[in-house]
Amino acid sequence: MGRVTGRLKVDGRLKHLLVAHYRDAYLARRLRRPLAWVSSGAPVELLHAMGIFPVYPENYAAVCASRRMAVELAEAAEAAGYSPDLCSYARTSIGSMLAQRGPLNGLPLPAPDLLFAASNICGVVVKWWEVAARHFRVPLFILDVPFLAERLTPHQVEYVRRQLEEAVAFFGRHAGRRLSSRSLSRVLRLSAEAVRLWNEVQLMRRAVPSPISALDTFTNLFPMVTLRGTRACVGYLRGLHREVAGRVARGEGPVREERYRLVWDNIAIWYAFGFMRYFTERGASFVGETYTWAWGEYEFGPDDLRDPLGSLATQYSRVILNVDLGQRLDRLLRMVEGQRADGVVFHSCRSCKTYSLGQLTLAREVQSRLGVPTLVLEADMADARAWAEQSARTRVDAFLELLEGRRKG
Amino acid sequence: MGRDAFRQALADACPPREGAIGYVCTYTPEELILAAGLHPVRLFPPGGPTGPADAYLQSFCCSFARGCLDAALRGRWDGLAGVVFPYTCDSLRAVSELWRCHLPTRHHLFLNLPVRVEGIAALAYAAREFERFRQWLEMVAGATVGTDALHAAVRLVGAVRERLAGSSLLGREFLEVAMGAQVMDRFTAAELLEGLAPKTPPPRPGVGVLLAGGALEDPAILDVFEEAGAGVVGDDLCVGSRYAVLGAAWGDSPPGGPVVALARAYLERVPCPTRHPPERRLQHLLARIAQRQARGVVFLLQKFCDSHAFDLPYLRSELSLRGIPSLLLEVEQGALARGQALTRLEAFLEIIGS
Ligand code: SF4
Ligand code: SF4
Repeated sequence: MGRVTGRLKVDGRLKHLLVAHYRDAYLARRLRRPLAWVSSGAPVELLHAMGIFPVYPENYAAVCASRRMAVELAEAAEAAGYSPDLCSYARTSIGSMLAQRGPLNGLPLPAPDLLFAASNICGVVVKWWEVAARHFRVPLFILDVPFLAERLTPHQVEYVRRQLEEAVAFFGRHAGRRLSSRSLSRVLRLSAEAVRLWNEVQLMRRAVPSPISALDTFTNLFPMVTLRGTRACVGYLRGLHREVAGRVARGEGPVREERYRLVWDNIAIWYAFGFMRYFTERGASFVGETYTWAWGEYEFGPDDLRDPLGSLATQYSRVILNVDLGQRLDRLLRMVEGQRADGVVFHSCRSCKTYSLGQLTLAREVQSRLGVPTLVLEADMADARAWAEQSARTRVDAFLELLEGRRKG
Repeated sequence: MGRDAFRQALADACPPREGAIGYVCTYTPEELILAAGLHPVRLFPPGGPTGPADAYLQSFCCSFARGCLDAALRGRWDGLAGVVFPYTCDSLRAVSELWRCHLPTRHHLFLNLPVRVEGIAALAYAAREFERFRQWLEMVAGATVGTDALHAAVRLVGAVRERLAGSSLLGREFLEVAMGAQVMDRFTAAELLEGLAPKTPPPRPGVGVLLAGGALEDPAILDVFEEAGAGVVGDDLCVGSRYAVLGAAWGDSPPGGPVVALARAYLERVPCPTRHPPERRLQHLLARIAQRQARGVVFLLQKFCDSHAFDLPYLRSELSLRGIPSLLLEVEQGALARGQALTRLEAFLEIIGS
């Protein structure tokens, strides 16, 4: 069993992708490419197929958080009357919009030509995008994706599908772009390929020791979120896939001696990677995260290419934050069993109600159905003000001790 | 006295009668519930500290949604034949899920309403959901919901809404009556409301303010206004006058049939902040301020309520551009932090009264 210290080699390329992405975003206007602000649950494939450049305020807020700038930006939003109880991504983004500041060369996210958000991750993005629409005075399209309780009904799919048609017309009107079915098929194929590679990488974490940990997948998520449907994304994932497969073949992983295998629920704590590393130091590796897994759920098979809008409607209705507790539990149980995890850490994230409310029930169910211990940690993904790392570490210690006892027992 | 009946209904919470269907938000078409021969009861949690629900919900869930689950877990609504959660916000959606998982209420429906309230696709979708609701109600009632019954229900609820909208009651009294009317038998409510109309309008109390906000648990929250010397001359609250404003009247054969007409009426309401696009609400608010001759607006915000909180900076700055001062007070567990609210209200009244 070998330990690989340091980061993945592909991380260098990742950095390059990230820099290039934001550079292009700032140049979009000069390159005459319409720029859209997109929510993370929106079908970005449509935009790529129509030549519209997407940027993600959520990703940008995560960047702000990892560079320790989210708090001051959130405070700028609060000073303008936005409640400190609102989602910290939204506050960070709004604050940066109002203060015209940000972590990338001091710049805020470039102003959009259009706004596109889908309600399938939360009601927050709808309100947040409305704020942006008023601020920038640019057109906004809300893709309303009904909650998927128990099963997806045909009239739900039809509703989303009709809106996708509207969205295409909307982009045509406001960005002067047309959708060709050829380019949409090409983008969907690339997206499907990215998803396939991503899922294979995730499944390789079943190996003992797990070849990568949560820090790796959280950082490597960027191309999946932002560039899904492009060649760059597929190219990157091939590299990631190769490297991870190599580690599995050599029996390498980031943990010196893998003692505990954990699953993480909810968004990362972007300002506390030191805390995430603490798990690794203590011999615990993460073998899955419901959050990074979510981007592997858009599976477009050859059949889907016959009715691309219909399958986009179906796929984007099934995202993890849009399904009922029973389905979320199923996915979680499958991950715990499939990845051979022996504990689940729930990040109860005060910003994100769709993700967090219901976790206490999930935790109880995982424990009672699989006998797998769970830990619920209160934190926030971007706002570090209430974060008490020391006490979180103490709770992790206690949790790992419990797992240790079970190992021996 | 009529008013006591409303107060009593509110205190009873769940009138002991067969076929009571609980619901949590005014986007529930109670006309359909009535047309099924069932009894719509809006669920108002009692306020105050919660207990059992705290084991299921973290601290950042608004206390209204939390209070709903808590009251249910304590058995307050055990007599319900069914419960309906229309889609509104992330917190209530979670409460609906938890209710379904942890409570034995026989019939549970998540009425999956659209966020978008404009456009043909939204209307077609909403109408299908209303239709699904109708079928669910038929299953619960074991009876069909006929067109005549639906027309009668629309007229009945229309009468309740109209009388409430035209009522000259103000402040806490109005809120008690409006909330009571959403709990009690609607025939009784319609009748009593008619008897409540005073011959001469009451004198306007204090400095006139308009209240705006979402859900509230308890009309007693308004007492502090009286204490501060404010007169609540009107509201835009979802437990108050927003229930009363719905243009749901139509002719005998509306195009598309009565269920579609009903869906359209609900989508065309003054949108609450959980609906998109939200702009019409500002116009409505301005109209109400003018109509009620309010000197200022007090926003009552449930702590942790995303939907309302996001709109506040915008609404307040639009009001301020028009020279209308506003104040923001946060509500938690059905109450205001009394001392602080009183001081801030008094200071606010001083500004708008001068
Ligand atoms: S509430 Fe959650 S899903 Fe929505 S924007 Fe915030 S973090 Fe993302
Ligand atoms: S007050 Fe806000 S958060 Fe609470 S139930 Fe109402 S809309 Fe939802």
